[in-house]
Amino acid sequence: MLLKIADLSFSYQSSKILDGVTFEVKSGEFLGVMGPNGSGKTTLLRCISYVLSPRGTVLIDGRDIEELSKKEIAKKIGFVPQTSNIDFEFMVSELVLMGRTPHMGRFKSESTYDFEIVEKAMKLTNIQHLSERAFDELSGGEKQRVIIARALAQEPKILLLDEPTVHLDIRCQLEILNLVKNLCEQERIIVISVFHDLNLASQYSDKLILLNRGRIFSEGFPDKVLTSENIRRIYQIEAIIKRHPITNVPYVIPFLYAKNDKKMKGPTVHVICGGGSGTPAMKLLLDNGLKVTCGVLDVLDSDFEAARNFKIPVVGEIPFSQITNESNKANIDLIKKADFVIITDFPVGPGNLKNIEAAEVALDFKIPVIIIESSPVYQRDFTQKNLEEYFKRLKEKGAIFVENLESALKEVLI
Amino acid sequence: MTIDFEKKYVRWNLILIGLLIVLFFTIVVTITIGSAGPIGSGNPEIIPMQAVWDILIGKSHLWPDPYKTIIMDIRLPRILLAALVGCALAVSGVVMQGIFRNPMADPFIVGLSSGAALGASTSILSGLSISIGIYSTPFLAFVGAGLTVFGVYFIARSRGKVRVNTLLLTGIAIGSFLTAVTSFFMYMANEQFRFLFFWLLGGLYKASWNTVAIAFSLILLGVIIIQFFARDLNAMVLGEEPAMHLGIDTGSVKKILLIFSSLVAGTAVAFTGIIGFVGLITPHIMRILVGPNHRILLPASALAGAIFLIWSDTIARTILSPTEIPVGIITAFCGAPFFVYLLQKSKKGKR
Amino acid sequence: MNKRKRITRLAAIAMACILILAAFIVISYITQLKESERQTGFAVIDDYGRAVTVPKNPQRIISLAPGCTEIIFAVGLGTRVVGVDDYSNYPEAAKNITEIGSYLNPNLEVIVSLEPDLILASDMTSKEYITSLKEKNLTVFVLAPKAIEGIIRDVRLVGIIGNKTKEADNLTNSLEQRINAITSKTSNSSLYRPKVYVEYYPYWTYGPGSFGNDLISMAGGKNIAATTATAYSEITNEFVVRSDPEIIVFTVGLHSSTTIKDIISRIGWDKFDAVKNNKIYTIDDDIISRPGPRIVDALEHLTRLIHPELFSLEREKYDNRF
Repeated sequence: MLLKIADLSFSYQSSKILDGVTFEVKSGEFLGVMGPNGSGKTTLLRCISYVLSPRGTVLIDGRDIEELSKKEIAKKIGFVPQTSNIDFEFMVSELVLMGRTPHMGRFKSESTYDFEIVEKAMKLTNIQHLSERAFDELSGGEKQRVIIARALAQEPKILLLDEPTVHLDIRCQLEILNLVKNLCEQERIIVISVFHDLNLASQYSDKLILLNRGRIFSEGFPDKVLTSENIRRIYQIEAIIKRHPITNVPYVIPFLYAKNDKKMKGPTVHVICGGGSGTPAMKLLLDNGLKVTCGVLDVLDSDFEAARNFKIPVVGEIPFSQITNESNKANIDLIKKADFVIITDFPVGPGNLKNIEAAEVALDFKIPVIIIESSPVYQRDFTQKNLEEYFKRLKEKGAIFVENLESALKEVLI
Repeated sequence: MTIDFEKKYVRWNLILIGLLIVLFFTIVVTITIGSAGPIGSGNPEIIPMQAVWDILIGKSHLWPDPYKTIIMDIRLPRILLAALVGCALAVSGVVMQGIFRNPMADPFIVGLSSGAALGASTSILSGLSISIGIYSTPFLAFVGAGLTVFGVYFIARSRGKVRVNTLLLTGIAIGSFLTAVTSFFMYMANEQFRFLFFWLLGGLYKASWNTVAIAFSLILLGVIIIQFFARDLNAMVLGEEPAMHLGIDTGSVKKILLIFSSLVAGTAVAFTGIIGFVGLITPHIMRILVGPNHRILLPASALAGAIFLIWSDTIARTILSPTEIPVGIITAFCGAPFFVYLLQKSKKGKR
Repeated sequence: MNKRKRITRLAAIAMACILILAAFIVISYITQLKESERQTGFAVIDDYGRAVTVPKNPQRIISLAPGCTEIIFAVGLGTRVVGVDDYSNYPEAAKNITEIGSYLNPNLEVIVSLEPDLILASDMTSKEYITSLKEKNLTVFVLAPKAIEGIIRDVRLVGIIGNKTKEADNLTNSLEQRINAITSKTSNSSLYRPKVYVEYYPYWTYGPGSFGNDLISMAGGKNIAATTATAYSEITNEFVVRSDPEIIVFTVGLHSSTTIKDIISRIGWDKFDAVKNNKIYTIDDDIISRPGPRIVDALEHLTRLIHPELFSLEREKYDNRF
């Protein structure tokens, strides 16, 4: 099955909610829709399910949805809204059975097949034990599962979900999304889900659409859509994009914009770091009005990415290689321009040992070097015991050893 | 299958059979109650119980003619009309509460009662009943009700769709307006004021086999057609959009349900004036007792409404005999405490 | 798809409406046809203009209005009355007769069980009710006089129906004499007509078309409400003040609780001639509003109040019949 959305536009009276949205989804594909508030996500879903009448075309396997009756649409598309407030005391089994409505004629009663489908839907959503319960007595997660079961009872080829996990706890969120993802893959259903949580979207979607003000800002694989640039443009926050340690999909770590006022006339601090230890240091220094530079960092290192995000001058190096002479020289140039050098506690190996040597150069130039030693040296010494000696030498030359970042900051600010 | 769906249907059938039995007994018992006896509240109770039995089984020649007239031409049609009207009001109430998703909705909410009152007042005050015949008042009441509903619907419609909130408010507004017009007529009316006032209070005193025949055909037609939309109603109470997502064409379902509900309620009002409370409370009571699924709620409310109104009317016409109390007073008097009791009981159950 | 469906749907609705209308008209017609079948008796035209076949010598009469009751008793048929409405309280004997409910909504069962051969009704009972009585094969004769002459005519009719023509004629002659005694004097065009305000309920008065209005005029007074729109209307305080009545009469009976104190305490009323001269009187509610023989009592009472100088000459002729 192929769902084609072409040039979809929708306006509420005079305000345009959607403008020229175009995309495609195939069977077995899970499409995530994201965007800031008011970008038209929910409206998009409601246009696809045709409860709103947009301009443009929605084609299901080549057939225009306009030609289908409401009943036929309901046989193909199931919709799970954010919340369901049902004031009447329907039983769970009655509600799920309502999902068969589009398949049943007005003058017929339910057949065995209908019951089988309902039972299957309840099995898939694991709510069989709730079938006699009243809907309004259930927990949020259970309620959502019932609604999904009802949508599944429609035997849809397309499942639309509007922020399905908004009011649920962590376990429910994962349970439901896992369930939907399995359905997507096993039953070859098209799933389009609106997400508010970027990481959940990244985790479960095969493809993503990022909406902004009714238009598609970016679409494609999560790697392509979830970049800090896009996030900055659309959500106006800073974010570091890492890799999820288990699933390797983009993992968004947002933070509030660090102050990086170029007009600041504070002293400059050069941070020698790596392995993620430098990021908090950079942020702390920037927040306190200091100028920061750093190097040398492996370009795959998260500290490198953080430095780029913070717009800090940084010297990068090709991954998994020794620090080249050029990089070293660039680093030393930066050091010479700095007023302080801070060495964070990062793992040191033969590859980045030169960074420590560069610190020595700083001392020679009478630039104070502050070494943060929050963990014992030997734990991060991968240079076969050279590091301790280097540190001894640095100490003799006047390097200051502190226990943590805040102390280091104190030293700088004195 | 591990889940037993059939169990629910068996339970439903039992409920309906039970209600039918109660209805049957109600009719049998109330046929013996009335000003003329055998069970009455004062004088003259002249009809013995044996006479009732004989007349019913066809041996009326054993007894004086008036006995037969009273039992077969006065009481029985009245009881049947009460059953039909009670059924009509209850079903219409269920439909209105379903369409508007509003527990305060009753059969008259779209201005139906005001339109009927205006129609009736036009008939009574203009003396049309002399020229066209005694059915001019029910007919004009019915026409008034129908026109009002159509009017409200068309005014509430915008861009081809009708939002239930708009419909509700329009109904209230137009209803108030028509009531004001009717009140004005009543005020200027003088002698006929009494008749209109009495008509408005509602009563089953106009029952005859003719009225029963007309009411039966119209009300039964409407109730049966509404029953076919039970599933649609189930979906519609979930909300406008959820219903659409389940494939219901809410626009046309609303229209059809409005038409038939108004047909049914309009017929009731045409013959008996405005009897309040039945249409509002019976659906709630039955919802507590049998659940919100309209496939059982509609027929159960129909039967319960019939039973309720038969008893209320019997009390109304006997308790202060020979004076007749307007039946709307009895329905409120008895219905309200019972409803409160049920509410309390169901609240306790939940805790 | 849309327009065609709409048209067919509208057509279906129109068809249904026409069918319903047809059903109503047909049944209504059939019912009316049934009415014209009757058994033995003779035809008399009632106040609705219908020819009613009444039995030759009715023995079991039911009255649906207090006015009818008074007429029935007045012509001597009181012993044959088996049922009265609950407002019938005159004469005294009427209070002991079986009640059949109010005139608005008489109890069908009780009426039928009393096996009447004649029912006298007023225009206060709705036509639908009367038709349902006729459907049960009962004879209903309507008395609905519009003026005092009508009441006298009704007395005669009841006399004819009940075979008491002699008593009826005696009564009507006496009534006409009494009326004449008054109107011969009061129709004098040079007679001064004081302004009279009569009320039966605070600010509710008799306008054109009501008995009260006719009585005031016949009694030689000028009804300040003679120009109102309806026979029974509510008027404003301002109107009464503007009219400045010379005589005020208010009814007393079961329904009224007004006292003279209430009247004189009304705003602006203390300036009236009526109040200054202490010409505030009462009258029995029943005799002024019921279409029966006692209407003439009401006339005499009013004349005594409005033109005491005239009435004293005629006092001997006041007939206290029953």
